[in-house]
Amino acid sequence: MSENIGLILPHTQTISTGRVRVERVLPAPGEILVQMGERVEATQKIARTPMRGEIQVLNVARILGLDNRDLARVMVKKRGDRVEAGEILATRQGVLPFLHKPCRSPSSGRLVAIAHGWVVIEAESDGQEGPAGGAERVDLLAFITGQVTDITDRRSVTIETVGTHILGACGLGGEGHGVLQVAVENRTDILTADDIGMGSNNAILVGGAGVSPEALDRATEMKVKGIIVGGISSSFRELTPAPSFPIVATEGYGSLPMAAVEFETLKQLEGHEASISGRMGEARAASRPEIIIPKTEHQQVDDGKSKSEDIPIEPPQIGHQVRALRHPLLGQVGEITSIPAAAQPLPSGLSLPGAQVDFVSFLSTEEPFSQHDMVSAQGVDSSRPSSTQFVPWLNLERIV
Amino acid sequence: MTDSSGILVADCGSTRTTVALIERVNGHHRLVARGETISTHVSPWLDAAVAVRAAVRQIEGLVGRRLLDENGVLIQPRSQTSNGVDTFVVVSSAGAPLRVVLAGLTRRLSLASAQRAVAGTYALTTGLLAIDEGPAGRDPNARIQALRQAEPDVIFITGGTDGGAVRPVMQVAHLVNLYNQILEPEERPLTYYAGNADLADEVAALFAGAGGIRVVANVRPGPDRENLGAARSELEAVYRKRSLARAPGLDTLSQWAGRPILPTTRSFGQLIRYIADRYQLKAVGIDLGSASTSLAARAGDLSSLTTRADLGIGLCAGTALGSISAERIIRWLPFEMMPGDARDALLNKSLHPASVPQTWEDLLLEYALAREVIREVVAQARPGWLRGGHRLLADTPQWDLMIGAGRTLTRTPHPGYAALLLLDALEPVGVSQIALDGAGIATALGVIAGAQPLAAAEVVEHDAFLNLGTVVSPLGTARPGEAALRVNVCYADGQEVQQEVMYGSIAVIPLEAGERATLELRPARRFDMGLGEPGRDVTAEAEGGILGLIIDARGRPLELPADGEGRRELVGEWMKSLGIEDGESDLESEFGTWLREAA
Repeated sequence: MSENIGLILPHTQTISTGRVRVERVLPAPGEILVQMGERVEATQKIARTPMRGEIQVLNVARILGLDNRDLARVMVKKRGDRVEAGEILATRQGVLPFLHKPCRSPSSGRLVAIAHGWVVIEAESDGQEGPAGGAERVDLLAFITGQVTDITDRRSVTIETVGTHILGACGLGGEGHGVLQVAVENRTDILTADDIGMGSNNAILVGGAGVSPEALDRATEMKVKGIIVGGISSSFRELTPAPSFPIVATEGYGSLPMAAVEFETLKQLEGHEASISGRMGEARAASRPEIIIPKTEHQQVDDGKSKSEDIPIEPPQIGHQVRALRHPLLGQVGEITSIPAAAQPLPSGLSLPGAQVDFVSFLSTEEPFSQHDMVSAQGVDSSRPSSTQFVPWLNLERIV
Repeated sequence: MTDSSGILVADCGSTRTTVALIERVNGHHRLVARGETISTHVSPWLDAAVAVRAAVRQIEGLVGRRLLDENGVLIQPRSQTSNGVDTFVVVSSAGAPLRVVLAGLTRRLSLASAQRAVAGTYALTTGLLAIDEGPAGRDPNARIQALRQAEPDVIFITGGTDGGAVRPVMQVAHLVNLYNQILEPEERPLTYYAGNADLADEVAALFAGAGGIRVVANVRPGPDRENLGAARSELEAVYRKRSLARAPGLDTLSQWAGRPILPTTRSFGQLIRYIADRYQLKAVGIDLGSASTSLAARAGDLSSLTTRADLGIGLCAGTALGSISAERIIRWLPFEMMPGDARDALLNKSLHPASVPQTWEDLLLEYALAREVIREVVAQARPGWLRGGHRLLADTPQWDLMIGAGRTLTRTPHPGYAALLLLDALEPVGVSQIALDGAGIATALGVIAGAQPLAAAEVVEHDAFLNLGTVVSPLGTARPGEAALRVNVCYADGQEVQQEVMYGSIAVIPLEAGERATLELRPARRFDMGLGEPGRDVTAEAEGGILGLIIDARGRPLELPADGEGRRELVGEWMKSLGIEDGESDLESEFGTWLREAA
């Protein structure tokens, strides 16, 4: 194994069962609505904060016809004061009372700055339900049904549950919560409009290799709460309006069959409540879309390990489970069967070190890996496909 | 840094980490071994040192001695048993780029200069506030909203030549000051003033009660003068403190090095400058990274560094699609591909940035994106080459040396891929040498060049670069089938080869690595060898390389046929001209051998 000294393989827990922990964070410090140890439901509001409102800049000096931009002598309100629409902000004193000239606030909000003859008013929430004064409030939902295990700085709440956690490759939209419903027969099927009926209302639908644009429209009509598929078209990123529900793709962009292990897991959990997030961070952010399916029994959090507590950094070995990261094997799960000592050529012409991986034995027994799949995956025209594939280390991640 | 016999250099990139050991061999500094692995500053490792240790372990296996102690700490200085190293230097691009808003008077003058200052480090310009853009430019409501949306880490106020505009510059300063006052003190961005020097005190006084402002030299002190040095240094310091210092594990590496970590782009810029100055060349270097791309150029007194932290070939392949359409990318492919399929494939690459193309089609798509990324960076850099009397360079870039760095360029199956990619992207004119950073340490060599020039020179001359050959590129256009250039190659052994090269084609004439020849170049009537005189003959010296002498008679500017089928056929012909056919050839194996030796 000396050839692999210093080799690090990315690794993932694509599917994990046990304790699942999510940290919910407000965009700014606010009010936490739950207590430590409290059980919360996925759609429960757990924290809130006023959203920063629209800014209105008033040229008070010009309105009052001042030569000097120093407003100290004319201001009635000071920085930090709350003002109502129509309320006097500043007054220019005339020689006679009827020559007094006021400057009124055009909107309600808080006076956040006074400088250079300008006054800035920021609309803000009045703390009541719903929008007020042009500003909206950010309500943070629990996202998963579970138990509050940490509260930090009026800003974040950690919730834990026991269940299944699946990491997606990419996604769209925000968060959704509903009952899992498998809408296709096979992991290679495309979810079409015909697969979505009245029974899909409020469900999180599981498709196969992708979802058609018509199915997105039907899902919107049916008030579907989310869609999970193997792959999504990159064109969905430009949809206007964007789908009203989140979409999680387990494998990536394009038409990509969902990995058998994920499809089977979701089939087994059909009928369970699930929470999904299609959010993608910025290019450098590590956040990935996710699917969380808590156990149905209302049990307390056990001492099981949470995801990412174990970080293996030993070199990859024969028998390790791996997932292919690159077309045409993207998303395939297999097992390392041998590690050639020398670099091996790829159809691309590149020659790299890597491993022979058996992808066949990891496929569902109900759906044997077709010869066609293997031929196309190899990128060569061979009528006698090998049961294993050579894949460079750079195109593999270890499943732990 | 004292002269030492063992130098370990590490480049911690956003996706990959490379470590190289340079030591004295027979009295000369040589690259002895290198290790490479994926970067580990990200989850789940959250420690950049994990990757460096792994790469060092690879080096230990190659050199047969220990560089790390039993606790995984670098042994320094080198012990009597030859374990450890004397010097350790680190460069990195692993920090998140700064979010910068530029506020000034005119887009084409002060703001353009400020933009070039920002391009000296890893930064994203998230907002541009130009006061000269009519009433909208002066509308404080719109401007404050724009500033808020931009969420800047840094605001750069510029405008006015020294002794020039006063009132509009103060208007800009007032607007920014107003924005800063809206924010809580801890939320305020770092604010810099780099405008009319006469107003520095007034601007400083204005911000005294709103978090303060840092004054640096005017980036545009005169209409035709630019001074980016001070602003660049400040921004680089901010990047080091705010981004690099926060990348997990880089603090450990900084302690090992005993000095702050230098941004990779700065080190790369230093290397190109060093090579150009030492060998009296007009040199340009491209470092094509996963999350960013840098273009460094040096010609006489011109020194230019353009960094795009939103354009890359891996992590930022998806972001690149925001400014480069899929249609632009697929035009470089010799086969048909739907734009949507190209987008899907490139977005998948951004999800797994360290992955490599498994199929030939995927490989060429990645190279097609690389072409457009470099072309985008060149387009941004070019206006900066106009400064200091280098108009000719901006109009018709004539480089003596072009260097390609970054795994995509240096780990191709055949060297022709890299050569064609650089020619398509840089469109050089005249006679140039093309080299690749085959050893993958050019990005770190700049640091060594500054402190130990002899060590850098010896590594540059012997180990770092793979010379692909000399390229001859006449400027001009003609009808297809017309001759563009007649070449007479006079080899050192007295033999001669004559060849007429048709417009629109590429020809390769044998000229082996280390071999020199005299070129007599006779351009056709409408073709110019870069002298500004079409049809004028030129005699030039050429050095061979792994590819030989390349005659790029496709003319400048390079134009691709609009007809899809014709274009694909032509692109395929260009590839064949450079020996790219099924990825198999003698050159491929020779190139592969060199790469393996370099590794």
